[in-house]
Amino acid sequence: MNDRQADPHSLLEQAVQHDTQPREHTVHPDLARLFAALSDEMPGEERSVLSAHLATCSDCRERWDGLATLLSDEQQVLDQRVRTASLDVVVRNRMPETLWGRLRTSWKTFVAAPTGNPMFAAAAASVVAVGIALAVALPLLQPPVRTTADQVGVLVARVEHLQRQVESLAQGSISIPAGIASSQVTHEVLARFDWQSLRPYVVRPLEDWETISETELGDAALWPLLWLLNGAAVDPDNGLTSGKTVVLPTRAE
Amino acid sequence: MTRNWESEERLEVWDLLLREETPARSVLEHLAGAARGQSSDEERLSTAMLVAVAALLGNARRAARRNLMALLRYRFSQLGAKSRPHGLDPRELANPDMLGLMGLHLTWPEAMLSVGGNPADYTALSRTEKAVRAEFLTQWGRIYGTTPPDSLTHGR
Repeated sequence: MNDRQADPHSLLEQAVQHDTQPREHTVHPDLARLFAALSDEMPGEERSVLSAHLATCSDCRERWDGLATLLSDEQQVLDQRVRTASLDVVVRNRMPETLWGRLRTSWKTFVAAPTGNPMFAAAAASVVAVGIALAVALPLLQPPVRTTADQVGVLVARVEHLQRQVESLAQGSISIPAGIASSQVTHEVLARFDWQSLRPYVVRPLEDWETISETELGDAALWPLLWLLNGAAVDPDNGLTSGKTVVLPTRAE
Repeated sequence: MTRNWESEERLEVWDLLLREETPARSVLEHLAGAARGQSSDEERLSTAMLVAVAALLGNARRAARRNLMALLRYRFSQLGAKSRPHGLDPRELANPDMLGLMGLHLTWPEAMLSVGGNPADYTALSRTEKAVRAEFLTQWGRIYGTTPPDSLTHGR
């Protein structure tokens, strides 16, 4: 018994290759059937029949491969369109590593202090939110042609300035902004939302920050944070206009 | 080439097996009956092999069945020109049936991963091949009452 004889794999291979030799077919599946199979909308038995055909019909196999590629490309485009940018990823991609690490440390420091002064927490959150808004909302909501090396440099400088402000807040050397000084803004309230995962929101007629905060976040007292979050994209002098797209935090899970 | 209904029916049964479904016994017996009247050794081989694999999948224990599924996925993935999605993760094959496997050109470790097995277990390949060969010889004898010709078992 030689090696070839001892190789059962070749027997299975022979059997499969014999059955999948190209053949002439008089009837071919139409596009609708191919699409149904590609979309997983074809019953198993029918799919088996189609498999048997495609395994032996090179023309149909070629059409199948072409359609599969087309659908896969379309799916990728759709996925990219619906994907919501993760704030921390976007910021990380735009910031030098060391600055991002320091900024994140500052954020975690105040979030991890639920027993601390709620005024401080809200104020610190607002300052960080301004930094995030400056760094992210501007390139996200404005035409990408403005994302130049100079602009990134300016944003980095601003965030570094804001980080210094956070540190000053922690040391008590600067006062808490009056607009945020609400006893209703507590750590628990802030923790209800994921401030790193933003969603777009189209402003309706007659809405202002307070009403958006009340209807979308369930708490009108959070309006200053929304304003700060969108500060770079929305001109505070002109206020909100109907149809304007702003970003809001998502509900924390 | 002309239409070969036995071949098409066998491919449909292979697809069932790849989807881990059990083919009707009557279909296998029908194919075996048709193969008895065939003069082509390749036709007889294809039917006996199909019946053998179906029998093994029906009787094997879990690990052996898993390894046999890996062998089938490995073999059927080699059909057609290579065409596999970028970054394919064999553990998450969307449709591990014939249509979904054709052209993927899985390696043996990838085939093993796709069934949840140990990708480094090459002895599983040889063990499974031996089991397939033994069952093939059994089924050939049962269906045709003879032993396979040397032209088949000694290579092409």
